[in-house]
This record gives sequence, C-alpha cells and structure tokens, in this order.
Amino acid sequence: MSGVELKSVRKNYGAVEVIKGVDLTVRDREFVVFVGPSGCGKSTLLRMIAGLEEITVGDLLIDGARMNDVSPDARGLAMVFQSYALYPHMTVAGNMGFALMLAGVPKAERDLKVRQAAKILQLEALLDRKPGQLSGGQRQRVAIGRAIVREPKVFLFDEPLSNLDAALRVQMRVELAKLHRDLNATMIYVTHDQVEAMTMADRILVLRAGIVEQVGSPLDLYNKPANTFVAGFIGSPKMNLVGASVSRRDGQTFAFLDGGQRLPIGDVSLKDGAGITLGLRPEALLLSAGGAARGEVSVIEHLGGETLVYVDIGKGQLLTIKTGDQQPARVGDIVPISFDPSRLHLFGPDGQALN
Amino acid sequence: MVKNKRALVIRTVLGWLIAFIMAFPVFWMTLAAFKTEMDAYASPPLLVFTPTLENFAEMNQRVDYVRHAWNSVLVALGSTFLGILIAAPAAYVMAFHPTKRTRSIMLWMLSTKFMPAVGVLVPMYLMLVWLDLLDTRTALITITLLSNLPLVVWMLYSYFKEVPAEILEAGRMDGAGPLKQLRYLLVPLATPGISSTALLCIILSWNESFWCINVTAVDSGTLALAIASFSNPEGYFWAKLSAASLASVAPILIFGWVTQRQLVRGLTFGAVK
Amino acid sequence: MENATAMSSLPTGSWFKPTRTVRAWPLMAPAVGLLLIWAIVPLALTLWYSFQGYNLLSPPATFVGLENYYFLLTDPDLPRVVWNTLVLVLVPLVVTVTAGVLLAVLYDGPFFGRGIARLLVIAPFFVMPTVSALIWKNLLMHPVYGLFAWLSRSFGMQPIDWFTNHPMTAIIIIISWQWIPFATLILLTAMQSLDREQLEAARMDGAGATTSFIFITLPHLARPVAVVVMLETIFFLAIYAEILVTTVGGPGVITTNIPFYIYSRGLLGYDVGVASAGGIFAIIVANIVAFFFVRAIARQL
Ligand SMILES: Nc1ncnc2c1ncn2[C@@H]1O[C@H](COP(=O)(O)OP(=O)(O)O)[C@@H](O)[C@H]1O
Ligand SMILES: [Mg+2]
Repeated sequence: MSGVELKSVRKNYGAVEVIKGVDLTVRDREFVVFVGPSGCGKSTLLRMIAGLEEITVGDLLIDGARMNDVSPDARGLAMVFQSYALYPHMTVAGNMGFALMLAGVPKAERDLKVRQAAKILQLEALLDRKPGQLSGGQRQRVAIGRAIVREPKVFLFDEPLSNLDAALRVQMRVELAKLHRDLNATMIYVTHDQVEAMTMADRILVLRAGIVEQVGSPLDLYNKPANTFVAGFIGSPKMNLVGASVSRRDGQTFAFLDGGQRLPIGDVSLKDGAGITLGLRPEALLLSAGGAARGEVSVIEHLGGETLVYVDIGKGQLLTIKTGDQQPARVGDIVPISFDPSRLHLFGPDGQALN
Repeated sequence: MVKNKRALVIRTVLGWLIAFIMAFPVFWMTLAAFKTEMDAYASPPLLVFTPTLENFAEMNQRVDYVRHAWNSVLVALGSTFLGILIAAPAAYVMAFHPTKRTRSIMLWMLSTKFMPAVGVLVPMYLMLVWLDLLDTRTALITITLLSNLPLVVWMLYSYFKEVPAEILEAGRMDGAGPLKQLRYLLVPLATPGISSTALLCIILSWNESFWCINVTAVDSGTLALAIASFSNPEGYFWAKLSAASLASVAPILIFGWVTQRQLVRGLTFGAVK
Repeated sequence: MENATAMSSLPTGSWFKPTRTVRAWPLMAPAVGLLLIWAIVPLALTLWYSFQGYNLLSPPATFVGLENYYFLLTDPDLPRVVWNTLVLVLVPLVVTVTAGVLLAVLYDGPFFGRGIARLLVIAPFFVMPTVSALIWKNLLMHPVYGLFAWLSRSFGMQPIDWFTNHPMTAIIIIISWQWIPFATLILLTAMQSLDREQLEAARMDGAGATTSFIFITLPHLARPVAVVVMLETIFFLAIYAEILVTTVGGPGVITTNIPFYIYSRGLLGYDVGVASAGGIFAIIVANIVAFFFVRAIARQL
C-alpha cells in the first residue's frame, strides 16, 4: 500500500496563497498527473509532497502516516526534476548510487542495484560517464535511474519531458508508461501538456491558480468537463466555447448565440436571458446540411489525416471543425454546421457545467 | 584591415608601455636588491652592475627572514582555511535557505568591514594583554580571519548562488542533510569559486599590515612587520631594504601570478557572472 | 546600513519563509556569532574607555565624562584631518576607477604578448603596502638619490622634493599605483563577460567605437564599478601603513588622516582615553561614508 493523501493542503509565500486547499487521494500504483497552465502551482504542490516546501496548512499522508514534518529523504519518495538536477561532478553510477551511499549501503550491494536499474533503462554502457557527456535523453534516463535505485514507494516527476525534443518526448512517454507498469509503483507526474496528461494518466488533476478544477480519468475529463476551464484545457484542438443566452419559446428552450444564430437546447433550469456557454468539440461538429447553424469558412488547415476548418458564425466568432475529409470546403464558402446534440456541453453563467 | 593593423600596433605599444610603467617600481626594487649599497645610490642609476647576494644575508641577520616568512605563511593559510570553514555553512544557508532576515544579516556583515581597525585598536590590544595573547600567531590568525570573514561570506554566497538549487534539492531527496550537501555537492561544484576566495584571502592576509604592526613583535610578526622596521634606519640601506622587500613580496607575487586566472574570478566578488 | 536599498541579487525578504525542514541557525551561528563579538565587544570597550582618563603610563583609569571628546573636537587640526581622510578616499577612487576603465578597454583587445603585459600590470596588487610605500619613498621619490630626481636633472629641471612639498600627492600616487590593478582586473573580467553580439548589433546599427563604449560598455561596467568603489572605500578609509612609513603624517598634519591621527595623538602618547574617543569618532565618520556609499552602491550589487 503506497497511497498519498492530501487533506485541504494550502501553501502561502508570505501573504500570497499559491495553493488554495487541495484534497486528493492517490491510490496505490496509480499514475496521477497534475496538469494546468504554467504558474498554477503544480510544482509547488509536488514539492510539498516531496518535502521540499513546507505545507502551510493541511495534512499530507503517505501510507496513512502524517508526513508534514518528515524530512524529504525519509518519506520514501524519489523525484525526477525538470532540469534533471544530476550531480555534474559524479559519474552516472555515482549519481544513481548517491542515495544508497548516504544511507550506508555496502558498495557491493550498491553496485548491484545501480546495475539493475541501469539495465532497465539501457544505461549500462554509460555508467562511467559524467552527465556532461550525455545527450538530453540519456540524462533523462539517468535521472529516472537515480529514482529507481532508491526503490521508492512513490515516484514524483516534475515536467520531466519538457526539455526533450518532440520525437524523444513521445518515445519517453511510452517508456514511462511501460516503466509504470513494470515497476508497479505509484507515480505523481506534473506537466503543463494536456497530451501527456491524457496519454499517461490513470487520473488527472486539473489545477488552476492553486485551485483544483476537476479530478478524474482522462476520458471523464474529456467527456464531462466540470467547467469551461477544463473543457478548454483538455482536448486538442480546443473545444469551441460559444457565448449565448437562454430564451424559451413555444415550450422549447433555445440558445441565442452572440453571433445572432439560434440553437435548440435541452431544458435548463435557468431564467430567460441568462448567459450560458455552449461547448462543442471540433470533432463533434459536422459540415453537413440540415444543420442548426451556418457560417463562412475563413481558414483551412490541412494536417493530412485530418483537416481543421475555421468557420465564422458571425461577429468574428470562429468555430473549429475537425473532419477526416481532405477537401471539405473552400475558404469563403458558406457552410451549414450540424452536431450531435448529445455531445453538446452547456455551462452556466458561473462557468460550471449544467446538469 | 589596414586600420585594424594600425590599431593592433598602437595597442601593443600602449599595452606594453603601461605594463612597463606599472611594474617598474617592482623591477627597480628587484635590481636594487642585488646591488651593493654604493651601486644602489649611484647617480646616474645603474642598469648594469655586478650582482651580489650580500644584502639577503645581511637582511636575514637583521630581521630573521625565515621566522617572519613562516609566520606569514601560517597566518595566511590558517586564517584562510578557518575563515572558509566558518563562512561556508553560513553562505550555504544564505544562498539556499534564505529567510526574511538574510539580507539584513549580509549587509550588516559587510558593514563591519567599515569599522576602522584603528578605532578598536586600544581595546583589542588590552584584550590581548588580558588573554595573554599579545604577539601570538593565534591572535593574529583570529584577527585576520575575523576581518576577512565578511568578504569570505559574501564571495562564497555569490559562488554558491551559481549552483542550481535543484541539484541540492535532489541531494536532499537522496538523504543528504546540510553538511552532506556541502561536502558532497556544494564544495565540489563550487571549487573554482572557493579557491578564488581562498586566494584573495591569502593575499589579503599576507599583506595585512595594520594589526601585525600593532599587536605582534618578534614572536609572531609577519613579513609586513619585518619590512616596517626598515622605515627609518640610519646610513645606507636601500639595497638591504630592497632585498628584504623582494624577499617578502616575491612569494606572494609569484603565487598571485601563477594563480591569477582563478584569482581574477574571486576579485570580482560575484559582480561578474 | 541595514536598510540599504534593494540588492537585486539578494533575496527580497517577503518572498521567503523559513523552511522548518532545514535548521539554519546552527550553520549560521559560528559566522554570525564571531562577527557579533568582533563588532560589539571592542566597540563597547572603546566606548567605555572614551569616557575614561586613562594613560597607560599613569594608571589607573578615572571617569572624565566627555573630556576626551572635548579635547578631540576642539583640536584645531581636526578639520584638516577629516578633510585629508576624505581626500585620501575620493581622489584615489576617481583615479583608480578611471584608469581601471581605460586599462580594461586596452587590455580587453588582443595584442602581442597581452598575457604577459597583463601579469605585469597586476603586479602592484600583490605588493604589501609597507613595501610599496618604502620603495616609492626611497628608490623613486627621494629628492637626491631617487630615480625621479635623476630624471628631472637629466631634463635640466629642479628635482621635486615629493614628501616635503607635495606629500599628499605623493601618497595618492602610491595608493593609486597599488589599487589600479585591482580596478583593472575586475573591470577587465567584466569586459570579457560583455556580450559580443550586443556590440556587433550596435555596429550594425551604425554605432562607432565611442558610441558603443558609452552606451553599451559603460553601462555594463556599472555593477563591477560599484564593487570596486565599495571595496576600495573600505580599504582607503583605513589607510595607515603608507603614511606610517613615508611622511609619518607630516609635515605638520598635512598627510594625517583619521586612523593615523588616532595613532599619533592617542597611541604614541599611551593615552587610551583620547585614542578611544578618536576611535569612536573614526567609526562615526566611517559609518557616515558607508551610509552614503553603500546605500548608493548596494543598489548595484
Ligand atoms: N519561492 C517562491 N516564492 C514566492 N512565490 C513563488 C515561489 N515559488 C513559486 N512561487 C509562485 O507560486 C506560483 C506557482 O508556481 P509553480 O508551482 O512553480 O507553478 P507551475 O509549476 O505550475 O508552473 C507561481 O505564481 C510562482 O510565482
Ligand atoms: Mg513548474
């Protein structure tokens, strides 16, 4: 059992509160990703778990034991830093064995463990090199190796892939997922990249300005975003969010788009004239007749396998539409737009999802 | 290109001319050290003469060079080593675990450097008498160490700041407490900075004159004291003075020249990154 | 001093909270404790003695109130001594910083044997103050046998008796000679850290050598110049050995600065009381200077 529990955890820097009450239970062997825009407090939260930042208010429990005042090395955690933070003056083996050396593990046993970890990460040939002689990807592995050697209960990652180039990032993503399976370890992973979050996580915690916006599995977040922030943050291309107001006529409820068009929506418990936001994923929109709205194609982006069509539905409001067609329309065309009503998201005046 | 060439020539001439002027007093002293007293006072001054080592022998007789030199070495190394030993943990805390007060403490430390030594000479002297430490190396090492300490803390602070905090945090996660972080991570990573700090410290204490003139004598006096005794002698003494000067300056001058690359970093006091 | 304005390289107070996980005080205690003792005990004693009539030749000490201060402050020489102290700080500062900037520019560019020339230029920095003062006083500036005297005569001029007629200038020359290398070294290092691309960009924009010196090089040197000024001020305020072995403060008090004044009035007469009052006075003057300098300069650090 290696669960991590946060109970209304807060963090202040002086008078500024950067973590504003986070509750979370990370289950044993779970891969949890903290995601959010830069500066939202992800690193701070992770560092509080690690013990590198003091917890101002609230409790941190690991395996049920309160850890607030336990020193970082005694919490049974290992951390991989964004900059890798390798010890530049030590060899790869020295880096990986440093914690064991400090713990007084005999040299023979230490070497064995370093070797085992090196094997997992294919670092065996590099053990005698210094970090300066390694490529970015290799350094990344050493940083992970340093964590593995300690056999921690929980792995912490702070944007570990952000210093790698795009191709390597995809490769490491797969390897990390595999590592998670092989090591059977609990992992907490911080990133600002929702693709990383979606592809790797068992559960995602979306953070904004120190507040948890939503916690859930990747598909939960995709299918049932709790508010406009999560809706816009998760999924690529971004969900279309269109401002509208509620109006009822003949027992039917409509949304009056800011651009002037009118869409029928299911009943909502809001007064006439209340401001709402409609959320439609680009992949939920179709360019087909019988549509509820129409607009003028203003830009087309060809990605090969898919095509993004940006349609102006009035007052400069652009809708992104994703389609498999390579030539769905031409710029300047007036096109009809339709969608599956079951994939329509509605958010109230406060930005929270309705129903 | 032609313009560049002319600039190069001007630079070379000017650069060497100024170098020559700046180094000339030392050069002239070196020559005089090997002259006889007669030659030293000759007019016009002699550039060519028969060198003699007599002055060094006489100088040694008069001021016991070896003893003073040994004191200089001990005081310089002792105060430097202890100073760094004391300053490093403080600089570590200031660089990596600063508090609200850190800034004020650092400025206060520096402000103690503005306290003129002469202002506190009397009580220092009396305290040394009470403690029976007058004219001891212990006293001189302690005083030198304390008067250099603010600079050492500042310099180490600025070098430690260059070490990424994440590396020390990784060390912390790996189980290294502050002292182990210092020993295994910070000291190896800041070695260039630490050694330039040490070099500057050694040079400052080698040349420290005020305290050594006022609180030491034959037992623990350094070369600076030995030289001061030449300020008002009688008769012809330039050659002997030069020999003594050369003998006191040469060790540190050569040391400084050899280590100048390291030293220069130290001198910048962290102002240049 | 404590409230000197923002030093950007220093942590700005409110940002940081003490982390309970690292116990800082045991690590700070030796350095801070020693400096506290070093700063407070002798100061307290000095203050105490400054109110005592205490001559080592005729103990014991008796309380005399402000008499020592009265003696000191009514001394007609005092204004001159304070003036000399300021001159001995400011003039060498201006000389060394100016020379330092020019030499840094000169030695920054490549030329034949630059490495060796640079070694020669920094040589004076390693020469202890007593030695440099003695060499200048005797071998170079001696009115009869000195090299300068011979040079003057060879050009048919009257040799200058430096220490009789221009003692202050002579001392300033010696001090500047000792400290020009220091300024040069720091500024040279700073020059070398100057971004070459910035200079090239300026050249592309049509800036000549002088323009780019004024608008790029000089601003870049502001921080290191601040460091030079601060450190040199510390050392110049305490100039002592150079005076002791050359003019002994004279003729009269023409070359006496505060440290030397205390030395000659108090210590030479074994008058602990007056020396201590002088010490307090020196500390006050130093702190006034420090206040103005450090406030202005700490901003740069
Ligand atoms: N030591 C600190 N002192 C004051 N504010 C800080 C400190 N560290 C981080 N912050 C602030 O806390 C917020 C969260 O930072 P961080 O956790 O690093 O964000 P993220 O990792 O999500 O990009 C930011 O606004 C940052 O400016
Ligand atoms: Mg971060």
